[in-house]
This record gives sequence, structure tokens and C-alpha cells, in this order.
Amino acid sequence: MQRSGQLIGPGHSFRSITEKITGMVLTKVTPKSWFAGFALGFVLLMLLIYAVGYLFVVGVGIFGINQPVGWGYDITNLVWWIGIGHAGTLISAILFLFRQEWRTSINRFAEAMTLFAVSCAGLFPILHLGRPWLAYWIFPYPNTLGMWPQFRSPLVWDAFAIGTYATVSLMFWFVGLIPDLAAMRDRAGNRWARYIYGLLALGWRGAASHWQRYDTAYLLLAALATPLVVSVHSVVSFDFATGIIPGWHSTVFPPYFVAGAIFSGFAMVMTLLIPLRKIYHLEDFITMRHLDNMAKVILATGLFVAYGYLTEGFTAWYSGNLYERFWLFNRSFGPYQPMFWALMFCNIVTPQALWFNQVRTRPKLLFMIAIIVNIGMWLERYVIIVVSLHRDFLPSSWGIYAGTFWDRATFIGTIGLFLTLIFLFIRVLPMISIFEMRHLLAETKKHDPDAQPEAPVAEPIQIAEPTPVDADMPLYGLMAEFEDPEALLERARQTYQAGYRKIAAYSPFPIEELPAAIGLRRSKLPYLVLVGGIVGALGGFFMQYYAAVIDYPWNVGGRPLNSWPSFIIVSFEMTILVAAGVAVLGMLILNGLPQPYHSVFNAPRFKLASQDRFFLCVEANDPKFDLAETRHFLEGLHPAEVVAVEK
Amino acid sequence: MNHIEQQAMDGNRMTPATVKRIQRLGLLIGLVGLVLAGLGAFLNLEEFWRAYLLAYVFWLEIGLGCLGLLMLHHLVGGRWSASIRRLMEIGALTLPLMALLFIPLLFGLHTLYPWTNLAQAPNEVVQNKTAYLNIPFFIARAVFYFIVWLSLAYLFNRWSLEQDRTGAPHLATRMRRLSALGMILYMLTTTFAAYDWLMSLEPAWSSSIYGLLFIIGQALAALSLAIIGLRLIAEEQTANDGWVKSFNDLGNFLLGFVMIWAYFAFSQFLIIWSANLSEEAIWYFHRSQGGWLSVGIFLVAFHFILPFFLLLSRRVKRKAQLLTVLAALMLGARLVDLYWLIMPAFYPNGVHLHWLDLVIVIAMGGGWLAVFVWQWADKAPLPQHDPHLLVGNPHEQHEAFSTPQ
Repeated sequence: MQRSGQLIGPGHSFRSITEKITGMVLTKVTPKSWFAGFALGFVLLMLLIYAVGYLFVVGVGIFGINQPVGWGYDITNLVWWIGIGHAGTLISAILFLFRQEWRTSINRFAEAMTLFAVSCAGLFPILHLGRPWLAYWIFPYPNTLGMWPQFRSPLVWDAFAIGTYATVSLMFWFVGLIPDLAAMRDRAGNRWARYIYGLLALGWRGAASHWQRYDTAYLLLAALATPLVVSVHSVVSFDFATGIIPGWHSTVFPPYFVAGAIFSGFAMVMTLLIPLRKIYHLEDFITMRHLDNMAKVILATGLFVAYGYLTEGFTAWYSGNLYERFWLFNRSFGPYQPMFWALMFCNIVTPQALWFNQVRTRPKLLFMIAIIVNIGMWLERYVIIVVSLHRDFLPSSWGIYAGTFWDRATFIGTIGLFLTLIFLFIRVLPMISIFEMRHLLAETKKHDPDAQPEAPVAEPIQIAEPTPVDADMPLYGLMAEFEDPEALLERARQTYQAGYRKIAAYSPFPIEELPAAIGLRRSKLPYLVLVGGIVGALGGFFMQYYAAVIDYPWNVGGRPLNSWPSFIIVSFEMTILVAAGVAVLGMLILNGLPQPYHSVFNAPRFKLASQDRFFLCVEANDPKFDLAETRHFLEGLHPAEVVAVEK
Repeated sequence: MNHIEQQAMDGNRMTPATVKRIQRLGLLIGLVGLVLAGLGAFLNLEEFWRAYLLAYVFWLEIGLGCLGLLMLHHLVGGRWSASIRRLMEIGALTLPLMALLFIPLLFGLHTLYPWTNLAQAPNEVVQNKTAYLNIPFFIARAVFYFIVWLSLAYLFNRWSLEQDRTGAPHLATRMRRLSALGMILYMLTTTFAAYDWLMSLEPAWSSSIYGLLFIIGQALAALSLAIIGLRLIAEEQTANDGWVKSFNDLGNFLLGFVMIWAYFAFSQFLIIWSANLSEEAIWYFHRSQGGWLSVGIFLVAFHFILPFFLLLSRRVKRKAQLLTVLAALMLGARLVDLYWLIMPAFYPNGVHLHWLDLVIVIAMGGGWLAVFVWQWADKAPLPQHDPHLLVGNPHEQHEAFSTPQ
């Protein structure tokens, strides 16, 4: 075997995984270090509220921005936070498409990180507006001013890209959570907790038909999120690159920004996971192999960022343009040279340590490198913004920029917001995807049956006597319980072949062949999503066309009214937004969710369907259903038990 | 020879007789082409060099792409890329031929590159960069690029054959390590080669994404070649489940590369279009004059939209015949893309197609094909003992690449 190291520690079972992960949330004992972390985040959050309150009262004059440097800390922070968010989508979507199983135990956390990072990022353009309460002007809506947003401006693209990104990330995250919320619902002891998790789980039952559409929707979301995440940081880079300022106007910006985003995002995942893994004893789930892989991603993206610096710098010289060459000189040897060399050290020199195995196997060293990379990436954005603006074409309009106390307070404050949200998240939601871990365990076992012996089950299974059926009880169906996925698959197939058609199979994780075994057809969801995408693309384009050509024709810098190259961006974001919305809503609606009541939950042991048991239900309205005969048939399948389910 | 190796060898359609036949055909095409090209050079030397550059970059691109994908496989590959690894290795072995074919190009430098004649046609901006754009340095760089590429191609092939024979596990590690270093060198050398050989055709213009565009073009060309090659290997077994999965994966990667190409190309266009600086926009201005606009639209349609939508469909990706046709179309689109990148530098006022443009591409292709099958001849079409084909799961290899009994 080429890759050493396991993705799950030894001796785990479906049950132990579920108990361990839900146990971190469904416990009354909160670790002391959680309080410490939350308190730190909360104090800094108060600082943010103070700084923002003062900003609202006094105005953006409290920031250091002025002519010629009109963008300072605020846009630096925006780009920094957005970049951090990218690792979450990369882990959850791109690694999923590449079938990288090691993503499984870190994707939930990374997605949550994405959401919170995007929330922090979204604050900055708004705060920096001067009149933040008018931020909604950037969106197209019918208004008495008779005005449209300027669709040729990258700042409008930004609003669409970040808005789409936040929405799709939220949907992706929530869809991933649904089966786990069901597990939480089924295990929560507290009545209120059960009620709330139940509400959020939307009535998820883990039926084969559910899983089938769920898997399709998840795959589609991953396929949509991948170009989306690339587009978001590219659009952020267009904020700079479509202008003509030396040091900003470089065509390599989009891919190099995306690489930088992934670079910093993975560094942030590492910064957070290394301590958390220790606090919550997650070494079995977040193994050295995970840290090793993340370190390699940081190294690879770091090298790509270095490639970006090189081509950017070389092309500036190669252009032969006086201003481009001056920028190159001024960046390295001008007033901001300490920051430039510091960023080179942080982003290019430091990650080279990751070539060595000895470094990649030491969490403490990795933690330090991750912090250095985080700092380096903040400096990178600062240097890009400030160095280019402070000395552009006319020496008479040069100037020097420095952030003020309020700049720093707002920035540090958003770290507080981020930490507060992260700590709340790990307290109330499962921070590792439980059902995907079960699936991973099942796959591992399938390939290597001896490697991971099943842990002894604490509570021995009682083979119950068949429950007497009350003649007056309205009957939903008969349900048989099995102990492993292979048994369920085989017995479900037999049941289908025996001529039963109204059957449902329930499992705590998706079983690939199960839907076909009980005669379910492939989901039509992909076609709906394709239609959604086309509607989004055309709708997005014609909205801009209508605004710029028909309703409000206006000459902007001599560009044609139909500036289609600029309209592509918003059209693209609308494509993804509508397609992703169709994928999620389509999956839920076709699955009949949310569903507040379903008869199968009347089966006493059914709550184990979200843990480690597998159920097969033959419904009473099946034409072939006959109480005695069907019961006899099901008992012939050697289940752990057969129960009648009340309607 | 064990069971799996036997199966792999069975898949080899390259029997000595076939090799001889294809080789003879390739050399014949090359020879006829050479005569015609010689005639063309005699009639119109300028046209000859332009067509030569186009053909050269097209065939070079495939070999370089093979080298890049090969290293990508060693670094992050899986089963999908293991199935095309041998084809990539063979593809990289066409690079010595390309090194040889580079030498004549040196005699065309003055015809092709305006920066070589600054004395006759002075240009202030270009004068600023003569530290980089001068003939001795240009040649020195080219020598360096070829040393890097040929060494990498040689080492990977040597170790790979050794792995076939011995299966020594340290070879996989060694190849992975070399790939890490080789990838860095590859990115840098191909980027600067793109600047030197293509971008400097219009020496006043520059774009920092140009190297990446060249690299993704190589990846597309090499993957298309691999799909066609794999179809030859798997000729009668393409309905087999394991092969269907392999083609599906390759189709997905082709889709990914097509999207990345569109992303790079559009980013460059949007940035230059939005800034609208005269020294940059002129590049697109030339490429939208006369018939060049139609060529550009052809590229949008056939280099992006058509393959994109076809590759969304599972049915296309799982059907080897369809995917092969699409891959051939992609290779054609690559040629058109290079044509649209190179020729407007000489004909900014409208499309210009000379018969030599086609003849030299075909002639060089004949020679290229002869080398390719010659290298393919005595090798198993699938790498033996590749950890990605064997890792922990012998059943899967068995299932993936077996003939239906």
C-alpha cells in the first residue's frame, strides 16, 4: 500500500461513530477549553460591535483611507476572509468530485468555516460604503429612482458572486446536515432538543428513495459549487485586474487569486482543526493522514501562488511599460518593502518546510506554519492594494497610507465574530458528517473485512416475539429489522422479486445498489437542474440587457450598450444560483420533505435507522399485502425482528 | 508473466506488423509532405516559416502535455490516469523529435520575430526588453527547456520500464519525487517557452496568463490523444464495465480541462476588454478583423460550447466511440486555436490560409506518428505494477481491465 495511515482509527463501528460525534453535542458537560475559546471570540465580537457602532455614528473618516489610497484594511479584509472561505467549498465539493475519501471527516467543519468567513467578508464592503444602510442599492430591484446597478462594474459582479456563494454554501451545508440532524433528533434526550433537531431534519427517514435523490442532488451541488468557488475569487480579482492601475492590471490574477484563496483557506482549516482535534479527542477521525494531505495541498497551492508572483512580476517588467516597471521596483524597495518581503517569507519560504515528512508529522509545527501562512496572505492583499494605490501615475498625487485603531479594531472584531460562530456551531451541531463517516466505514470494511473488527455491542439485541396486532389498529405496514447493509440489500431484492412493490428500505447511510434492487428508477433531478441553469443564464443575461440597452441606455466610457463580456459574470452567477436552488428544492420536494408526520416513526426501534440498523418495510396498501402471509415471508428473511407499524 | 500482465499484453494492438505498416505510412506522409514543403519554401519562404511554426507548436504541445499529465498522475493520480500513463510516457518520447525539429526554426527567426530586426523597424517599447528578447539568450533558453523536457521524458520512461520488469516499490516513490520537482520545472519552462515562441510574435504585447493558457491547451491535446489511444487498446472491450468507468473518468477530466481553458481564455479577454488599453486591446482587435472574428466564434462554439454540453451527458462519456470522436474534434479545435493565436500576428487584417499551413501540419504529423508507434511497439499498453492500479485492491484491477470471458 502506497499511502500509509488510516482515515478512521481502529475499532470503530457505525454505532460508536454516531455516539462519539453526537455525544460532543448532546452532552451537558462542555469542555473548559470551549468556554475559553468562546469567551475570546465573544470579547472580540464586542469590540467589533463597538467599532461598528462608532463607525455608524462618525463615518468612514475614522478609517485611514483617503486619497490616493481609497481602499485599505477593509478591502484587504474582504479578500482575506473570502479566500479563507474557499477551502471549505474546495474540501466539500472539489475533493468530493475527485472521490478523495479523506475529505469526509473535515468537510462539515470546513463548510461551516466557509459560511462564517463569508459572513465576515460580506461586512467589509458594506461598512466601507460610507452609508452602509443603503447597501441594498447594489441589487437590481424596482425603485423610484428609476436606476439600475452598473452591470459593467466588477463591484456589482462582486455582490452577485458573493451573494450566490453565500446562498449556495448555506444550501450545501444544510443539505449535508439533514441526515445528521435526523440522527440528532433520534438520539436527543432533551425534549426541546429533539423538537428543534426534528424540525430542522424536515422528517428525514433515510429511505432508499431519499438517499437516491439526495446523492444525486449532492453530486450536482458539488459540480455547481466547483466552478462557483473558482468564479468568486476570480471576480474578486477582477475588482483589481479590470482597472488599469499598475500592479492590479494583470491577466494572471484570476487563477492566482483562486490558488491563494485555497492556500489561505487550508491554512485556516489547519489552524482551527489542530487545537480542536486535541480538545475533543478526535485523533481517530482527523488522523495524521488528514493533516499530511492538507499540508501537501498548502505546499502545492503555495507553489502555484509563487508561480503567480513570478509571472506577474516578470510580465510587468516584460511589458516594457514604465509605470509597470516602477510598480515592480516600488513594491520591493519602496516605503512598503518590509511588508512585501515579509509576505514573500510567509508565503513562499515558510511553506517549503512542508516538503519534509518530519514537518508534516508534527501538528505543532504545522499549526505554526498555518498561522504564518494566514499572516502572509493578509499581507499579500494589503501589499496588492496599498502599494499599487499609493504611487500610481502622477508623482504629485502620491501619498502614504496607514490603518488606524478603528481599522484594526474592526478587523480583529471580525475574527471575534468568526470564532464566536465557530464555537457555537461545534456546541450545537455535529462538526463531523456522521452519515458520511458511516459510509466510509462501510466502504473500508467492504474492501478489508478483517482490518476493523466490530466493537462489541453494548446492548444485546433482543429478538422480540412478533408483536400481536391489534385488530382495530390502522395498519401502515410490516417492518423487518436487519443488522448490516448487505443483509438489507439482499433481503430487499428478494422482497422485490417476490412481487412486492410498495416497499421501502431504510438505512443510516446511502447503499449504492439498494434503489435499483427495489425497482427505483434513476432520478430526473439532473434534467430539472439543467433547465434551471439555462433559465438562470438567460434570465440573468436578459435582465442586464434590458437594464443597459432598453431601459437605461447610457454611454459608459465609450463601451457598447450591449457590453456582453461584462454581462457574462452576472449571468454565470445566476446560472449557478438557480440551478443549485432547483437541485435542493427539487430533492426536497420530490422526496416529499418537509414531512411533519410519517407512520414509520411509530415503529419502536426505528430511531436506530439513523444509527446502525437497517429496516425493510412492506406497506399495507401493496396489492400483494396479506398480514399473515407477508409476516411469514418477512420472518423467512431472518430479520432481527418483525413489527407491525401503526398508521 | 502473470495473469494481469498477460491481459494487458493481449490488449496491445501494436503487433510488429501493424507497427511497421503505420510507421511506413507515417514516414511516407512525412516524406511527401517534406517534398511539398520544400517546394513551398522555394516558392514562398515567409509562408513556409509561418506554417512551420504553427505545425511545430501543435505537435510539440501534444508531447509536452503528455509529460505534464504524466507528472500529474504520479503526484495526484488515480486509476483513471493510471490507465493512460503508458500512453503519456510514449507521448513524451516524441519530444526528442521535436527538439530536432526546433533546429530548422532557428533559420526562420528573422522572418518570424519582429524583435530580431529592431534596427530596421524600431519600436520603443520593444527596445526596452532587448535584455530578454535577443537571439543568443533566446537560443540558450530553448536549449535549457529541451534539456529539462528530454531529461524528464527519459527518466520517467526508464524507471517505468524498470518498474514493469521488477515491480520494485521504490520506483513509484522515485517517480513521485521526480514529478514534484519536474512539475515546477515544467510549469516554468513551458510558460517561458510560450512567451518566447508565441507571445513574442507580437513583442509589444504581453499577458501574464499566457503561459497558463498554453499549458491548459497542452493538457487538452494530450488528454484527447490519450482517449483515442485508450480506445485503440481497449478496442473490443469498450463495453466492459471497468473500461466504461475509465472512459467516464477521462471524459470528466476532458470536461474539466475544457472549462479551465474557457475560464483562462475568458479571463484574459475580459480583463483586457474592460481596461481597454490600446497597447493590449490591439491583440484582440487584430483577432477580430476580417474573418478572424469567425475563427474566434468557431473556437467558442467548438472549443468550448459543443464539447461542454456533450460532456455533461453520461451517455457520451460512457460510450468510447462517441468520446473518441469528440477527442479527435478537440485536437482539431486545438489546431484552430493555435492558428488563431499565431497567424493574426502576420495577417492582422483578415484570415489568411495558405496551403502550406495544412501540408506542414500533416507532414510533421506523419513523422510524429512514426515515432509514436515506434515507441509504443514493444511496450505493454498498461503500466505494470502501478500502485494506482494495484493499491490494496486487486479485485478492482481485475474488474477494471479484464476481457470479458
